[in-house]
Amino acid sequence: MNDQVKKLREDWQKELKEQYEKKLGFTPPRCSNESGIQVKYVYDQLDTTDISPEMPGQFPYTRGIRALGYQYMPWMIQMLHGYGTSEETRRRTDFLLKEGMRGYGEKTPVILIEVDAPTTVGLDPDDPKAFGAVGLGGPSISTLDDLDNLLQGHDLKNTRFAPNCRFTCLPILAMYVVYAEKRGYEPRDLMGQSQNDALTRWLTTDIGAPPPRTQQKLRVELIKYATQHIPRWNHTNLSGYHYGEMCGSPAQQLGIVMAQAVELISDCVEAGLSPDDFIPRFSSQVHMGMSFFEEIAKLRAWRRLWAKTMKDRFQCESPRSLQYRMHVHTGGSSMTMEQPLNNIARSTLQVLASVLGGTQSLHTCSYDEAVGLPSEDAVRTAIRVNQIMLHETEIPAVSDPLGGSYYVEWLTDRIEEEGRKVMGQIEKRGGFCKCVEDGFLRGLLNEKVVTWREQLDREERVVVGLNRFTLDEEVEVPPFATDTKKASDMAIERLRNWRNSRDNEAVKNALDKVEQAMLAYDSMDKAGRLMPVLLEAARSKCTLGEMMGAIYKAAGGQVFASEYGKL
Amino acid sequence: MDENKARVLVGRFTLDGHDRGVLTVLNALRNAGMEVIYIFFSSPLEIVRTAVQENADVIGITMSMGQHMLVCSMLMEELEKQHADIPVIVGGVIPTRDVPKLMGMGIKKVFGPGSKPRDAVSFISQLVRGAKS
Repeated sequence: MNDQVKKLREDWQKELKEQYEKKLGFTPPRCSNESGIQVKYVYDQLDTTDISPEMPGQFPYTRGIRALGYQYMPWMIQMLHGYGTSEETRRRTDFLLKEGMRGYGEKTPVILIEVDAPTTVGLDPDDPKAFGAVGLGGPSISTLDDLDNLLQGHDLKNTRFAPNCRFTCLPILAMYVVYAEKRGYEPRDLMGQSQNDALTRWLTTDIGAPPPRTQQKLRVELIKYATQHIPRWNHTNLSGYHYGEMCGSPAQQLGIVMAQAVELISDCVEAGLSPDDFIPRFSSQVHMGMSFFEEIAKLRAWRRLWAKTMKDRFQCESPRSLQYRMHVHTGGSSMTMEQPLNNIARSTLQVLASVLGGTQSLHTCSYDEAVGLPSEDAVRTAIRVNQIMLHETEIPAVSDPLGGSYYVEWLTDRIEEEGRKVMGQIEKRGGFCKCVEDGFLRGLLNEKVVTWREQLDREERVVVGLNRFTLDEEVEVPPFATDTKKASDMAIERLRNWRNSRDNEAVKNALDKVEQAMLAYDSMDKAGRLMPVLLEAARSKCTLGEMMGAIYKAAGGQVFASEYGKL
Repeated sequence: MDENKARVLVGRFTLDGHDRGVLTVLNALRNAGMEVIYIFFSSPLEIVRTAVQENADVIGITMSMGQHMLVCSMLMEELEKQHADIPVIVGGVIPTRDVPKLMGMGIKKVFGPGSKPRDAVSFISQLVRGAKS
């Protein structure tokens, strides 16, 4: 068999030499993908001789985490949304649900909310530092009333609530638990997800926050609480997305996230948790770029590297700890303002790659996102891309349809290998937090951003409509606009009423306790004492900004990611 | 110090987390030999004060969160209050339809999505050369 393949390969190489190089004088260009892996012109059996046989639902889950894939459970159509007031955001939620946004199955609403920047760092809308940013890119959430606007009428037992809150995930979860409590639900009834990955956001957006190890404590606290009280809560959504948007290659995204996961899991173990109890509730937000096969290979390699790492490093025995679930977010930065309808083609390719790679869930960017938040028309089209793929193409009929492809199998191996290298490099330098602190990671990404731009300018990298195939006259899609002044005024007014309706003595006492608990939280083994006082604070009607303020007060002032890197 | 060397203050407004674009601009400005002062997480007042203190030739603001109209109007007001005659250029996610309004406020140039950093560099060189000659 191998001899035959070898012979065929040699014949092919001979033809390449004689036909193309000698006769036509053509030397085919060498091609390296985004991860810097050099690809050949074609692959054959000899490239995949060491691939172990595997079926979907079997370790190490390269081919999928379940025996049946989309035949049993189509991917979730989760659309991240939010703007203006919590009322406006709710109207958008209702619109999206009507158009087909859903969790697993038809009757499970998913409410994946983007909040405004002040909410992500823990500033109430009336804080002077929040000025000009309230209601931009998401609603302000500072009180239980805001949560009620987003969630009233939904049965919280089957509603997946996932607010994207960066640094404030812990107090927001406390507020959600107390909100649910007021509606008669127990914590164990709830389902949803905390982003709980502030470090990634911080590292890639440079918004001020507490230092890395402090953030790590808040994350561990959340994981401990969710593990003990909300069994259906996905406590951490590890984000590779932001690295992708900062030009990190697929292999870098994989390696950085794995290094981060390993450190966080070790911290949780130090906090007294046992791996099989909390690892199953990790999920992820994976970036999707334009390098089609590389992205498919990335998803396959990601599942495999996760499974092997959890087994080898943490001796996980529960299959659920080894089965890595992913939510893919298509790449916002691949959208161009120029010739906006081209973006539908880009999103479609990215959705296709995600599905061929076996994602559990998708957010699809809208064609107008290069100029702002999506209009209803644009976001409906983004949902339709998913529905067309699901219902018109027969693509979901077969699991891991590229399994066994010489190229994809080879590439999956190579991405895993390169991802491992990045992971190893970070661990060798002292781990993820250390590499944030010494500027290594920031430097790595900055360099990629600068290179990306230079390649665009030299046209070594083509973006259709941007640097090639351009138009003299651009037609702009109408940008979606909201009245943020109104949103800000309403948020501030609501906050004022909230503050007038409470016992300020109780608020003060509750906040003092939060500060004390944070001060006493000097090592990971003290985890588990902060969340109870945050719950008390939420019951005493403390606002998000107040709770976060008490934490900041104990943890120290704001620092910036770029202070840890060269800018 | 080379007196013809442009001093550019690049400012990013409070809580705006988008910095991929501005990183490429910072790089291009430095490669062109300009002196760059970069501040972020800053209010319009802080941006203007820093520009005055640092004796900047140009202020460049990056904004990608949809807050450009408000921030630019405050910034221009603040410049006037301080009698600081420093030209301002703006980059980021700015819809084309907002450009005339920004120019109407006295913004010298807007570099929206799809702009090239080198265009910002040559625009700043021209501005500074014009002012210093």
